[in-house]
Amino acid sequence: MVGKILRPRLWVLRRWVRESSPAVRAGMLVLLAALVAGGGWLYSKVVSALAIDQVAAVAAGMVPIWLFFLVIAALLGIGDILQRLFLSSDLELLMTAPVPLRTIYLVKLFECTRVLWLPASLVLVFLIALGHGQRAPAAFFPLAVLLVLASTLSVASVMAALVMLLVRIIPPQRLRVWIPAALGVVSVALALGQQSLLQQSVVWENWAVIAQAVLDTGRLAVATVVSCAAALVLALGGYLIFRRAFYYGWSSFAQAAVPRPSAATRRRKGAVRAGVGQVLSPQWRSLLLKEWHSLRRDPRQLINLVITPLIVIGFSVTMLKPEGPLGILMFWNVLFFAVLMGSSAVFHLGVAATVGEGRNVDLLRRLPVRMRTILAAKFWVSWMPAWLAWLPVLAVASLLTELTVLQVSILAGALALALAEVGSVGPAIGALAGDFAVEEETRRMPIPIQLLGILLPGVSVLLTGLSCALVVFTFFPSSELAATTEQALDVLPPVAWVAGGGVLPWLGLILGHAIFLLIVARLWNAGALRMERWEPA
Amino acid sequence: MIQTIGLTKRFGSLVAVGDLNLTVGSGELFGFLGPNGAGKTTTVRMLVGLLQPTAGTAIVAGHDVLQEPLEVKRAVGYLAEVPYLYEKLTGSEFLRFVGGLYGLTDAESDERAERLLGLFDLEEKKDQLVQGYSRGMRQKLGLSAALLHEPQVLLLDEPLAGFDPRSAARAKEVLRELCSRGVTIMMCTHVLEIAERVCDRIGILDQGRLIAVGSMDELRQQAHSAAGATLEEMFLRLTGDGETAEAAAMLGRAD
Repeated sequence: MVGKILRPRLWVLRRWVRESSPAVRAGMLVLLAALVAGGGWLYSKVVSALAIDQVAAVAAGMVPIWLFFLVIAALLGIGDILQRLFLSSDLELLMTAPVPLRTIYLVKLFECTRVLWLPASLVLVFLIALGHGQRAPAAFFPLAVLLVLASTLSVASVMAALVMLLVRIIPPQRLRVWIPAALGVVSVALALGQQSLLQQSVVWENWAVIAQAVLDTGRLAVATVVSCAAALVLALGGYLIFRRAFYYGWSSFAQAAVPRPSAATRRRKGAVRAGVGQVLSPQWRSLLLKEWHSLRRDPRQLINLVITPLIVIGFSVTMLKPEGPLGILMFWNVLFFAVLMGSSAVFHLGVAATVGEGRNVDLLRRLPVRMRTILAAKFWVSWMPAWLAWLPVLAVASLLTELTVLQVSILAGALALALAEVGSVGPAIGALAGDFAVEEETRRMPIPIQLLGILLPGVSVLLTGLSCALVVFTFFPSSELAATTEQALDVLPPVAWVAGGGVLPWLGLILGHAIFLLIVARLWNAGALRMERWEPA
Repeated sequence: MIQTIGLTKRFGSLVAVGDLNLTVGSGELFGFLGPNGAGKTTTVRMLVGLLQPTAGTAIVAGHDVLQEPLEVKRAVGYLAEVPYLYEKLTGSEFLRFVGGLYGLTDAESDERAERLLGLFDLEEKKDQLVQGYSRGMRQKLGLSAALLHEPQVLLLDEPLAGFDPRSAARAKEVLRELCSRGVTIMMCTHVLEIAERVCDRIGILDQGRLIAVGSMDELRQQAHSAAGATLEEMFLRLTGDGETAEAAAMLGRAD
């Protein structure tokens, strides 16, 4: 039965492969081969040249990185897991068919593992390369595959159980608002726990023993059996929670009315609306309100909004702890991480806001409002809440790590700039790539758009990093941040010019931002035009 | 075939359906009417197992919806007001998928799908993606999916919405034919003309309470209406036609 429920996905994939152009198919194959075979070959070459204790050293370096990616992937996937467990629209169909609850659970659990496929693939490629490089017996390879599958299932079961427990605990009227906050707190706890695990794993002395044990097929078999048993127990535990939580959570999300605010809140909101009404035209006010309500009543988007800053700061707290030059240099590391993650999140928020219109595009086209105004409303209601969500998190982080006022201000400014730049691209890309004929909310983004979602934040990191550095060197040259950074840049000649002062870096920076904004303007024009002229195929 | 006993559903302080006691016999076409928000869809969703009742229970095709949900689902075909359809599947793929969920083999599903799609003039569109279907075509596909496993009970929420007149006439014939074969149909609709012509009995729900139930003649008695009174007249009287006059007055003021 599980196979029957999942097979439409295969049909869709088969059709996509059949209908996509040979160039796209070839490109995907090359990319996949480069990732799997190339990565495997590289690992294999490294590992085969090493003695077993050196292999252990490599593993000691790799494991924290995997742990990092596994935890990040799982945390960032919490919104996705919530969506798949309680909010996906195919549940109605599955629930009216004579499908046992355990089958629905298995299907949903399988779907929940999707957020872990990438880190799991990385681990698998490494293990296979390790076996190949160290000439492990043939039994090693299927056992390694089973081990990774069992671990993936265990992590997905735990994350799903966590989401279901929270849904069961929180009152239905408050679910949409509290669940993002509750999951945010859990994410920070997990991120901090992972940090501590990561630090211990780097200095752990038993890696050699484990590396040898992994290559000892007998011990690997025992480890695999234990992992599979653990995965089954966790999945079963998840099912028991699912049985108790599913109906409750599903009907709560589907039916819970928006709680009526108190009279005082209504008066306050009325006053705010009246004030806003004097500043904004009725059209702008309506569009912004519509976008805001859509955002705040979508638990998945809210979770993404809240979790990103919490995860970044959760991971960064330990980085920012050291005093002296190292702590100051880590500040740049945190800035890099925050801008990268934050702008990626706001990009996807903007894309989702536009693509999520679906067939409502017809309604928007009938309105006496320019499509650019509609896109602009989506931009404001993606970047502003995303940036505001960072501010309290930055304030708490500054208390925990003793960041200076200058550092916090630079972080806040950098985020405002990067989120605005990358956030402005999201609605336009959504308008250009959205399939508005599709009503269901789980719309897939074309791969080129997903790549843009990686590329643009990367460009933004460069531009924002450069902007912040120039601001520090130009306006706060005597600060500790400027002095320490300048010393650090002295040993990096390719970027030492940033600290050199002068007009040229500023000109380069302004030119960079101008080009970026020019590209954005063109994307907006093209996106607005497509939405204005859009017709279903 | 369908029996509700004190069926109640509350959402917080709102009583969507309150203490509903209703019986629909085998082979009967039962029309379920009521103003918007009266609780019709909530009732149907409880009968099909999509919502858990807050109190009371229901027996569908001899099975308790709470104790034997799978048996109920096997016996029931359900069409939602806005049916969920996989947008990226073709019509025939979707029906094969739904057939699989009800334990049909692909060959059985394909054979029945062919027949049903032909019945609703969809055979030419069966290999097109659902995302390109019109509202009426989606409804027809949803109805085909609900009929695919040859259910004993059909629960239909606004089944003819978006149908063209020819298809609507065909669908009414199909529903009557199914009833003559012993299938029980419970149909929520706002189209009173359809309910009046097609249904054996009609139940009127208002604010979660069943305020009248019976054949057209029985409803006339309950509504103290004249012998030739239409369903619309009785419906307005039972659910408060004062509001209609008020609305007309408001429109008059707006003019």
